[in-house]
Amino acid sequence: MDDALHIASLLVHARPELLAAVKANLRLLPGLELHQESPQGKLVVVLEAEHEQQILQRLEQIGGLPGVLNAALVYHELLSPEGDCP
Amino acid sequence: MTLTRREFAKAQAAAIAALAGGLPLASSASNLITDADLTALDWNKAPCRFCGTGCSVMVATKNGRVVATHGDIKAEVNRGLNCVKGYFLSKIMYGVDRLTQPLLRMRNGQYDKQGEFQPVSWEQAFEIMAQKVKEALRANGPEAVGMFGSGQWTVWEGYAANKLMKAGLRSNNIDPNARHCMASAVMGFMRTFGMDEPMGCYDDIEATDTFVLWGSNMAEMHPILWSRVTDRRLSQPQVKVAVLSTFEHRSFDLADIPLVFKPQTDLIILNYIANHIIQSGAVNQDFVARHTRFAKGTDDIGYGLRPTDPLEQKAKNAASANTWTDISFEQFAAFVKPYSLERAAAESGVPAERLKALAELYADPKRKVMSFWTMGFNQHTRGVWANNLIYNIHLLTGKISEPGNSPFSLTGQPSACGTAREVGTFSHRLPADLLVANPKHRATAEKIWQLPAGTIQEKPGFHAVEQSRKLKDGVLRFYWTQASNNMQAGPNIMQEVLPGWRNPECFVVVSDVYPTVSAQAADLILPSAMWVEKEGAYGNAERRTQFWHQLVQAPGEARSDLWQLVEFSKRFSTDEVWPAELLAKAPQYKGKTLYQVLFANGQVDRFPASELAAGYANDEAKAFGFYLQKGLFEEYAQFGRGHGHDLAPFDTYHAERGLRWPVVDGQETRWRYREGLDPYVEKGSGVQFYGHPDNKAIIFALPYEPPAEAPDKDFPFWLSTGRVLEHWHTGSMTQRVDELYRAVPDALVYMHPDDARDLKARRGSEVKVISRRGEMRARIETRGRNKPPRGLVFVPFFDANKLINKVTLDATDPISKQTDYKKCAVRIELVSLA
Repeated sequence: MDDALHIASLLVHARPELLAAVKANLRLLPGLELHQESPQGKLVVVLEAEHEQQILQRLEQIGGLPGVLNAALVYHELLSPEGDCP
Repeated sequence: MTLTRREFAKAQAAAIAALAGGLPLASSASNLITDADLTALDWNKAPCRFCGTGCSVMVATKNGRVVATHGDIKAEVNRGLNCVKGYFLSKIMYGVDRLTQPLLRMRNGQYDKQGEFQPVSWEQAFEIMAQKVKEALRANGPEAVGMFGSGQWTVWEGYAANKLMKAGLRSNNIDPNARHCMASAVMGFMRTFGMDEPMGCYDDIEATDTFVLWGSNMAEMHPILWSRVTDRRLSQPQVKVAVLSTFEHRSFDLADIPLVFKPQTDLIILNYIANHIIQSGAVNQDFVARHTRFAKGTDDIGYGLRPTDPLEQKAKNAASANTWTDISFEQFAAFVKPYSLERAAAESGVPAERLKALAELYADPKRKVMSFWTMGFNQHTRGVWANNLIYNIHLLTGKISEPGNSPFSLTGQPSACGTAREVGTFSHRLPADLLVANPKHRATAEKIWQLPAGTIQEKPGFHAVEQSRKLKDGVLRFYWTQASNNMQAGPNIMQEVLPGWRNPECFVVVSDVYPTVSAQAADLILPSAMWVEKEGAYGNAERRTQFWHQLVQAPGEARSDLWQLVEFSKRFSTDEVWPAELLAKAPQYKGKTLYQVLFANGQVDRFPASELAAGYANDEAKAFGFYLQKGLFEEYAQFGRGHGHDLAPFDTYHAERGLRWPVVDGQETRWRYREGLDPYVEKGSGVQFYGHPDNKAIIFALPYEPPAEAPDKDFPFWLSTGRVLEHWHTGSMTQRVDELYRAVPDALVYMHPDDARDLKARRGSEVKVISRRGEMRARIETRGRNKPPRGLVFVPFFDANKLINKVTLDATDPISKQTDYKKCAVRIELVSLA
């Protein structure tokens, strides 16, 4: 469906000494907003996507960035319903 | 959609994530979370449907459908976080192939084992089931009926099933799929401590200095707990992480000491560490003298294969596997002495300096240690021993039963502890650690259940692997499985599982939510309700019992497993299923149905439907006219209250984010066996392992023994199986979520690139994985998240189209009867290069 919109938030855990580099890389990913952060290496990231598949992809990409130790999902909402999966 | 709604959702998403991470809120977002009017969603708590961590999830419904989820900030377990499986919980119920009506194999309007599945009514389904049960009972007695259940059953589903089978139909042939995952952990606890389940809890993570993973890939399998481990490692400089496995996986990313060992040599490493502790003078003498004793376990115990197997005939002590004799500390020290650093390094393949570094973490008196393990220990033909051996190390050093010092057995299913273990749905057990073989325990159960003495059979029933064998042999004739998928998850499918299910003498019923491999191999399929389509209770790995309300309706004619069990009990009268001499002892039950005796018995039906919480549906209360779940729970709780398994009153759990038993005077227990922390420990004693009559834990002398099968010239590779993050178990739920399916679409053969090169294959090549029992095809992955050493391949078992369990061996631990899915020998043949 064209008007489906997924909103998700993540808590990303990075090695503190690499936080700046991790943030720079995160900014390159589409549909991604950076929110709060802490000097201990935690970052709040909000994703907007038309399909959940993009959220998974993004999660995989974030997990693979150098310096990222963990990316945990927190929130997920589907603003308009999608069709069922095949 | 309006911009406002979108901006609101994003602000809320960020705010909840910030809360979860302990980060300050942006001021504009601070009051959003509680503003229910803006969200227009109805939020309720529920424990996650998947693994044994027991995360609490907030679930939003709108128009009768689940539309959003987020990690529950108020939950101590996950503190607002959610993993990828829990994240898509809102979709698992809505796969297009959801089962919505009973399906029976039929030809010409009649049941026919060779027929095609056709829709039938519940009435017709129960009619044929009851007929088949009665035929089976007439042919072979209670031994001819059996049930295979689940660590995914809710507490009351497991309890009702246990009661229906062991008391109603008088058959102990009920076993959960937890046999495949937790049985070795259970027997490890019972032998060492005399009481099941961990003494510590997840709070140990924030109190320890050291994490040691033994055969557990927490980064993928328990990601929420792993995020707590990561947090601890990064925030405290002294914290060290050691990871042991037979291949490198994602948990190695955080490892300070990585250790890849040869399969089965974990037994040598464990004994080496005990030896190191003794040799280096690190034994906590006072603790050992006051709170432990020593025993030598029986050795040469076989591999749990059929008695006719040559390996069984060769084993001297297969019949007395679970026995031991007392020894002294000096004898124990002499027993482990040959497990030197040099030997451990030579046989395990791990560099000596890493083994020594690991041993020193345990031996250092100033360092707190938390050990984690899952299937690497439990799915092991010496799994019970491995569990005993890790406790040895914690007991020798006294690093146990206090914050941060914690040997911790993780679980894989949401209620492996709560239902399979605590309710005692194993073939040898009754609730609260009671055993069918113990006459006093049977009497206790018969008293609580208001049944005549002698109702419960004393002989343990058939365990999971034995059930498959007995179906094949025609001994078991009626078989009902719920919330499990044994045709995919069971070992050695082609030789030992499928032949029994398709045996013309047997009738097999599968209750499930999707058409799993098992459903397709059955004779009758019953459509089940799942998760928040029913009121439920689960118990997680840290003894935490959690409840949820029914939030939506199940589709079509799907009904909860609980309804199925209780409704089916109406089909039998006591005269049909109990012998006359038993009935003569309880004439009041003559002519009554099992429903009247077991459920509408004045005890289970004593809470009226009016006690339901306002605003929530309860389809079972509607069907039976009373609050069934509450009645079952309160009856069940009688088994454990006052005996160290105390559960809180039913209604308490709907208000709490779970409580860890024993719950005494309204207080949960975080650490057991330690004075001041556990109300059952007597004043002045310091520590009491009160599962054993002398209050002492047993330190076991147990040797290395070889695996049931090892690579040779014809089958040169080790095969290990397991899960991957995005999928859970056999994938019957997660594969319905197309995003999860596309993330890891097919099971892969993870292999070392040099092994692939030697096979003249490469990444993406299609190969056959062949054992002495069967074969399967899959594609090679050499660069993935799992990096095996040379000579070992890893294949996940979630893919119903690539059944790795055609290949695995049905060797089990002789004590726990749990299958070793981690070790058998295979060869790899190239099919196409790609």
